[in-house]
Amino acid sequence: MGRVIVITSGKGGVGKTTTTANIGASLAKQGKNVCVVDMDIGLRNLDILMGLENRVVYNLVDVIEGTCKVKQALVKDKKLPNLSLLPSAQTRDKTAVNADQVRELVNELKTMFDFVLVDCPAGIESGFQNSISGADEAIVVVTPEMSSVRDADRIIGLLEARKNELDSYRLVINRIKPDLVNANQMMSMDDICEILSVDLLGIVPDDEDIVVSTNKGEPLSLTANKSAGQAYRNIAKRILGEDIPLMDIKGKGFFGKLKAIFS
Amino acid sequence: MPELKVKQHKKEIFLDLSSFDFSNDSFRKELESELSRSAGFFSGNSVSVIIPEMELNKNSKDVKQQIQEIQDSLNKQNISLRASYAAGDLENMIASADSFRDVKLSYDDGQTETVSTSKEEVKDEEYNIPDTLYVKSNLRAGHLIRYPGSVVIIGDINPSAEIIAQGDVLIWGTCRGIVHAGSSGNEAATIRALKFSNCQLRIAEKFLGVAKEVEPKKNEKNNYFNAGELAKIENSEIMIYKS
Repeated sequence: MGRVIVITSGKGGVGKTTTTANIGASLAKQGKNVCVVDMDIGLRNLDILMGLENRVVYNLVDVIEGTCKVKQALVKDKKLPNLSLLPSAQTRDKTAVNADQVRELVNELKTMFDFVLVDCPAGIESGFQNSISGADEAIVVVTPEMSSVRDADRIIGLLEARKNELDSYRLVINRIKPDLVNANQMMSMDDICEILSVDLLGIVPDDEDIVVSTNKGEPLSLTANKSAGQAYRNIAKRILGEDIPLMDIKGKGFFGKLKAIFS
Repeated sequence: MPELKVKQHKKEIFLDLSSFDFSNDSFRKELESELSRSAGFFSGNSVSVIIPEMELNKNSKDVKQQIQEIQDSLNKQNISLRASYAAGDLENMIASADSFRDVKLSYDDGQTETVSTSKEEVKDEEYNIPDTLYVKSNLRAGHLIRYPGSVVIIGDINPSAEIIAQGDVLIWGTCRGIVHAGSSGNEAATIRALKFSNCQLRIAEKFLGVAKEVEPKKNEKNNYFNAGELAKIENSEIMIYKS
């Protein structure tokens, strides 16, 4: 039986979909059978990040409504044959499915894959409730902003209410800007962990290459990128149980900046 | 959607399920969704349930099964079932014994469920001060505790969590949310916390916004040895005293 991990955050735009795509790609690169599920019905994004938007034929709602079989709806990744995407519907909305149907679907996927990563929509309404049904673990993505931390806090409160279903919930801090943290202008990791009091799964530095890779449709963790790409590879290894120390995120400092000017 | 009513009699908490339709198949689902809204409030407690009279009097297998199901639903939320009463028994209890105390319980969305079952006014002085509510967990964003007595929290109050108590509030942790002590107008009520940081304090009709304190040095962080702060009304203004 595989593990079902839901990736959630509460607030929108903090990098849930990017995190899902990158962790999924890294796990597949490690030789695991991985399925990423886009649960954001009506706002389909995950297929773009993985560069599969023109291969989508059937979608999640089709599977749930019985129009097609699960295997027909799964889209295989271009490079990694053991990575599959279950896309969401673009023409429907979140009321098209309910929690029991999602649980049934996820349980079926669980038997086919080692890992099922569920990309949860923003908010705490039905879309969120659907996404966390059937999940074994949760990853909460948070950026170092007060608004994001407060929403994550609310989400963790809701996840705690399901303690009997969820084995664990862990935190990924995304988009850390080292220069701002060093200058005490941004919330530090310690501040966030102190408020949320949840285990930390990983930290991801802010990286412009993410934008490029999103537009190219190629997860950054599959490239040689040493910053955010490496951070996502580390997170995937931690999910697999390896003990990897947190990335040392430091600003460029004075000489680094000087170097950047002259290079 | 049937409503979950909460009553308190002496030290016992009752969940009134008499508005639920037991014959309906969706009963359990409705109960669980109602429970999940307020479970944090009861978690770790034992409660008694009140079920519609006719359902219990059937004395059939079905009812026993229903009660078992209720117990399962409660256990899921870490609540234990003490006893179950039929609605009729309860009426007798109200008539014979002293009156029920109203419990105001609210969770999410600011909805408040108020139950007024007392047929006679509360005369017994003893019941004007209910037991202190003891909560052993962090209060996260969106959590709201409304209580007619004093509240003790072992844990932090996170931003946008709220406590509204008619008595005192004691927080063994950092307070970053909204705390209202003496909400019924008691100006002698106090709020104590290990640390107030970027929070809003209200005592009776008075209000104080506490700014985030200057970032302490790394090695002073979480050093509670010199901490312990008290907020009370002095000269009709909320003042904070450090120990």
